[in-house]
Amino acid sequence: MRSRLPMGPRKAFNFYPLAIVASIVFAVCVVLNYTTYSREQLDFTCNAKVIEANNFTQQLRELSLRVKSFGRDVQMSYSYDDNINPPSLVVVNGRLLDFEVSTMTYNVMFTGIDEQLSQNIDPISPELQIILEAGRSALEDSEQVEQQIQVLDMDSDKGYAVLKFRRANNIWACKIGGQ
Amino acid sequence: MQIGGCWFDIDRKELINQSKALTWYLAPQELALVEIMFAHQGRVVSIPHLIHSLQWHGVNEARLTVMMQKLARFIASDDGTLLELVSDQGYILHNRPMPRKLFDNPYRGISVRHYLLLVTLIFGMVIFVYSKLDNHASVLPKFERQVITENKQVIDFNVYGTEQQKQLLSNRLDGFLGLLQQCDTVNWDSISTSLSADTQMFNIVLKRDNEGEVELQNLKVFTRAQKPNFMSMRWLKEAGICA
Repeated sequence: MRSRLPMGPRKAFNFYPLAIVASIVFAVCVVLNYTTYSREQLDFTCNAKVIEANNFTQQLRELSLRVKSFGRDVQMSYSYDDNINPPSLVVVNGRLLDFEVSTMTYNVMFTGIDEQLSQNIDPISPELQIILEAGRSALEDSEQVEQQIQVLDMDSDKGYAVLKFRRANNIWACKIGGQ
Repeated sequence: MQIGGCWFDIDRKELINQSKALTWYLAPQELALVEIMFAHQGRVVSIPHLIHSLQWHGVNEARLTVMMQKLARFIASDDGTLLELVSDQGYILHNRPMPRKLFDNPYRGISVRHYLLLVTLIFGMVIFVYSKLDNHASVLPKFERQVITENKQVIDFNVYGTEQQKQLLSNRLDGFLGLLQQCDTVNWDSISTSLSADTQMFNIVLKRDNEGEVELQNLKVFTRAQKPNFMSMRWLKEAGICA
């Protein structure tokens, strides 16, 4: 086979080493991306005091939020206690779609309220309805609701994170892990 | 003797490029090389044979390469190539210029097939990386300010949400900031706020560093009562924001 080198002899370019290196780099990127995603799990516990803007002297009311993933399954539990009525517990189930590293955002698809695990939710109290992050009307209609949970601030060593639920624009300061 | 557009005068030891009006006065080893290539014109002359024939001129493979490059440049024609390297065999001096093919290029080092394969691989990598990038909202707050109280205490104040929500909060925020500045002591190092999308709830996240430990507190303020500006110094004290 003749190589056309009219300007003089030159060593032929060897394509295969470059192709192999590029393929290895590509494969490493894919594996790293998969590894990063599979290790990102949700496990946050958040507590809040509930206040009425026009009536601060009300009895103490507490709202708790627990967000935890089990593999691809996500469970979000809201507990509301007004110290008068029995505490309410709403458990919402969902599926973790992906985790965007660049924006530190979990994309979750919530599929509906878990009737068996939830307690005293018939009817859901107005306060809990307002607070439900996943979209109360959609969940009551048993539709799927996509939610983005963005990590605004996090310190794993100190065990805390500040989350923003983008759909409702509510922010929560949470502990990492269970209580 | 004629080589394309060049004339080889063996007696005068000159190679004349008539089209470029250039004359090359050949050194002894260059003359010997041209004589060999002329003698084998149209046939491949192996590199070992060339080195063996020119060895008493002190020509090795590196020197031979340089001489061939010089010769190829001198006799090069616009119509095609005259001197060619045949891979792993040797050199050939054509009788007339060999026409260039469509993808022929003096600087081409790889075949079209390999080139397309490499481009496809790189393109695939770029698409893969780009698909992982996103243009979603930043983690930065929509509004951030440092509040300095009368006691020179510095508090980080942040508002999260869209520009529209920030506008909705503007009156409340001004009041909030003004009250914070009047506090004797603010119990927290940083205060983050947001208004829920349905404007029914005002979120407050309080954070402070307590001897290396981070303390956090959430306040969920229901604003469904239509009082636009519910905050007062008494309210801040009862909420535990001001001492």
